[in-house]
Amino acid sequence: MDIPSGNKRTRDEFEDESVPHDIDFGSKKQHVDPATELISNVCKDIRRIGENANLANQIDDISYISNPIVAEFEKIDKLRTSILDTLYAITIEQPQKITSLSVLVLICNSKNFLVSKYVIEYIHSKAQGLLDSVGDVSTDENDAQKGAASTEDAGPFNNIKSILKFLACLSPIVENFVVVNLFRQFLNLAVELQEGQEGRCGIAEEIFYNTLISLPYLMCNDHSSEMRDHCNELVELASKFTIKGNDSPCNLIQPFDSKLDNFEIPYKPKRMIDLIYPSILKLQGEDKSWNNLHNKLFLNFKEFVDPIIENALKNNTISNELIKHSLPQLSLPSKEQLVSFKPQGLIDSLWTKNTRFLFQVYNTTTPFETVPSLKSYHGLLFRDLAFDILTNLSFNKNEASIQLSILDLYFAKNLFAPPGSSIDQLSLVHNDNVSGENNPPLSTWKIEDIAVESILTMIFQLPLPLHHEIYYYTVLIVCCRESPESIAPVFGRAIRFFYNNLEMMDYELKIRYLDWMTIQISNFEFSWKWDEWVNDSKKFRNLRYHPKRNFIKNLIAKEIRLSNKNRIRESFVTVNPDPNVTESLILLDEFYQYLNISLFPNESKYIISYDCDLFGNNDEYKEILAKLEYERKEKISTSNTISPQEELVYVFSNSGLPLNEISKTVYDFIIASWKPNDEFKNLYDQILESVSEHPDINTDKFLINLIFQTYAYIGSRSIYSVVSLFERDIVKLQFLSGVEINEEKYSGTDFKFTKLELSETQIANRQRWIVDSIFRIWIRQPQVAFLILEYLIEFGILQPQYLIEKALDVNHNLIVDNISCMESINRVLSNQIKKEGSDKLILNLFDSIVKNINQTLNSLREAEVDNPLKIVTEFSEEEIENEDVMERIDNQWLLFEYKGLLKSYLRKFGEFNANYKDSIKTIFDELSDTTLKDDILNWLDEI
Amino acid sequence: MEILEESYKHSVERLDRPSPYLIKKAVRRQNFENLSKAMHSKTVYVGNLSHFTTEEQIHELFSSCGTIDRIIMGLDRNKLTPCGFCFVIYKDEEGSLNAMKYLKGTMLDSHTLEIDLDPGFREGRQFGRGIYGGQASQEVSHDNGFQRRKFDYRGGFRGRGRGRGRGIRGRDGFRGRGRGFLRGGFAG
Repeated sequence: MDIPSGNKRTRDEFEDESVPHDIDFGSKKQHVDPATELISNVCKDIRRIGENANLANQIDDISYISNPIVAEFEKIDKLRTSILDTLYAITIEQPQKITSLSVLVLICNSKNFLVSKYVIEYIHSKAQGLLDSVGDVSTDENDAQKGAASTEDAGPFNNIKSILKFLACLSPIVENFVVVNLFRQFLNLAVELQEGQEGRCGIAEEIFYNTLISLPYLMCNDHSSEMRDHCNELVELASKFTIKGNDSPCNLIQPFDSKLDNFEIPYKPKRMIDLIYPSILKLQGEDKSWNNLHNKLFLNFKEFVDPIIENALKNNTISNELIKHSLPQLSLPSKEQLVSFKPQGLIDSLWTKNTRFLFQVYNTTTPFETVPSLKSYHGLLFRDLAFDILTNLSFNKNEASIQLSILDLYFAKNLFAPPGSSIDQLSLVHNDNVSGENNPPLSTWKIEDIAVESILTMIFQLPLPLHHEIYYYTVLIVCCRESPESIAPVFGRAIRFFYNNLEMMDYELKIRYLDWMTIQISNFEFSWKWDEWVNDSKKFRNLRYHPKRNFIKNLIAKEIRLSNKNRIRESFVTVNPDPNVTESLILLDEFYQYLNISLFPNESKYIISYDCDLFGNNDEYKEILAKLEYERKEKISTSNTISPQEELVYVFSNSGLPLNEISKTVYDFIIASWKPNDEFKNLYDQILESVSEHPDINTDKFLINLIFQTYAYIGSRSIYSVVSLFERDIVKLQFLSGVEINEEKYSGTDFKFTKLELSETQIANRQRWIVDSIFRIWIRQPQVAFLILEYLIEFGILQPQYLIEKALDVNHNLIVDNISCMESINRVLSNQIKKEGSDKLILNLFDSIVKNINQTLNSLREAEVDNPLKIVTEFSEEEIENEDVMERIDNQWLLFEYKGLLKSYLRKFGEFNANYKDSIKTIFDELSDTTLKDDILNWLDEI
Repeated sequence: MEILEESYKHSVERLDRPSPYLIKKAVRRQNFENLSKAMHSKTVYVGNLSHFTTEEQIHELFSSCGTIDRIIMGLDRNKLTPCGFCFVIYKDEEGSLNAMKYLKGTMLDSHTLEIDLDPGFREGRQFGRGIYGGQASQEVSHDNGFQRRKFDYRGGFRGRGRGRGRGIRGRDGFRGRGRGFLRGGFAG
């Protein structure tokens, strides 16, 4: 039945403004309760506080917002609770606005002190609630059960940091410098907690860091010498904190690895805990005057706010004096509770798992700072604010992106270069700074660099990013889409920085880099300056495992997965530098080779050899099989728009090949709707009987290939077609593959299979052939092959170890070579790790990697390489064409890639129990090179 | 119903809420069942897809938010070819909420995705409801010679303020430092 589109409003009509709406919501505006409207307007205005570059106007606006608040705060309960909720939400989710927010409270205080009294009490009670949640074990468990809901939050201690900052800003209206006492309380707690522990205490470090980073906020609105003295006392108190455990290099979580000193890493990693105290000392200055703070960090509200407050006090009918409020101390959890505290909050748990390091992208290649140095308080503060925004605003990527990009608005003017300044412009500024022409020197800090570096820090967080990576990728996309002109070059510099350091980059981070770049450029028409990589692609053309070649190849493969080959092919262009020619673009055909994303090199040869073997290595059949494959290859190479399905070569039904009759029967059986199990058993027997007439053909191998390739071929229309076919016939395929049949999968009257009498080897072979058969049929689309195999594992038809074994097969090293394989194995492992017996699977994984490393070392020794661990990085054009030389160098890279893989898995799966660690050590002891072994064994100590 | 009330528990709106389309539909019909279902659904509706976008491409992008159970392509009722929308069903609720939060507004095959929580797929919903079998709205816009309006962005972050929410004075909120919207590559 046709449904005329006019009868029923569709989603698109609703969203499409070009189509006139039959119902205009605007004209039928509902009558809104004035109180509700007021609440909505006031809260919306509070949310926007600070987003104004003009300070005078900003304060003017804040003062205006304060009027309805002070007038209605006591009268409308809903208004009061909504405002308090809003203030708290902004404090936690957008801490960059705290200083501006405090101005609102200060002004309200001068007009109606009850407002600020409520605010202070409310914020205090929130802080106490967070602290109580730390001691309350049951809450902790509940949070863990809530899962998704709780994993959005940064954690109580991180959030208390923002509350401390807010209270610090409100200090002028709190009696007797009591806010300073809170700081003292937390510093003492951190010092004592760390003293009581032999090693590093993560929570103590976090409390210490958070308290110190909030300390300058005490002087945001209070410039008195008394406050300065109090702050100096606090700094003195902080000096008692002892940093422990800083002798461990924490190699397991470093983003860059020198590969046993083969390379120089781009920067020396810095611990946050080592940086905070010296940075505060520097800010304090030798004369302890905090001169570097006033008007150099916070906005100077004073000159605009003071007259407003004075005026308000003058007109205040209750009191002309500034009212100050009391603030009770906080009741802190006991040290025992803190020591046993297992944080669920994202940033809190980051502190407890490992000491935190800061990631650097910028400042490494320019002679001047585009982001404030990590050693400065400014450097730490801006990054800290960015991390808080990113973590606590994860439910709105658009707002997170906006706030990060305008972070400079909330701080002193001239702290940053004008938004969108290019590196060239900043170079000129820097030159003028050096020559003394700019006096005082102008800032070269770029707010875009801080925003992007902070997001990248979160993406490249080890061992795990705090949110799904896609969140951070899309925040970056929003940044770029909103201000492409100023952000795109910042991305370009980051992409180049990572690319230039690929040789040292952690195995897992390379995957994230690939992932980010794919999503990023897929949102911007796949445009990238590919010409920059042409020379590398040529230089490393015969080095399959070289990180740069591997990266280019896999990036293109991933792009194809999000698009299609033709579209990606068209993106390989560059602007012709010669303005006089008619063709403005040059095609970069160097990259066309990577459009062939087949699982194995020379896939035609592989297919023909595989199929010949399947049909008993008969010359007559070989000819037919080769013809089939070459015809298909020809078709693929001549057409740009061939679909993945058309790339498949399914040979069984070819009438020139033996067993085509039974193959057709199999095809008809699978393509029909569900058939009873006994019919499958008959078909099974029939296949065995038919194949037995061909003594050259391996019966079981043919059987498995015929059935699984036919399923894959019939379902080739899409992943979910094939998956629903497999799902329909789980029991049949479990029977066929030799695994235990899941009795629950039988429905009432189903025929029950008698388990086949197969030896362990026979079962293992059948399992391996399942993997081979799917690889063979989908050889030209590895992603589809791996997805199908993952579903077969999920359905209990394939055992995961056989896919892992294939991924680590030293003949192809797919896990190092192919991004689809890397990602698939990671997914399989993270699913399996939740199941019983997974420790054995992981130990086997470690064992296989160690064996591959040893085998690669042996190949290098056999090739008489003097020092297998010294990677050859320079070679001549002649050497590039020398197979032996290239194989040796490639093996060196392979060796280090496996080492990187081992590190990544150890980081992820290294912690089960103490015995498990011993078992890992026993496996690592088998490494045949002492230097390599020692380095790897050191990682174990870091777990 | 909680979703209809303005909440101040957060400093900005959550993106994993049902769209105004679903809310208005529920209010107009005074039927909130679908809205409640959508809020705890594992399914998302995805619109504004290119007709050439494949299930594999959708899988590639959407699997970044959680494990996918099934993808149901929206089909032209007559031609049985993709017609610009699909349903992605996740294994867990978290997947659909993540897709709402993270993927709304991203691009696939040069099309800006529209995503909404969905009360759940029912057989028949995969077919277009337009006169010619496709998606009704697309047919209408093509008939009228209109192209669909692409994602509407503000002109740069620093231009925010004007026109975005009214201040209590009834004036145009705050002023920013406006900068224009220009496309750019990664050159630099």
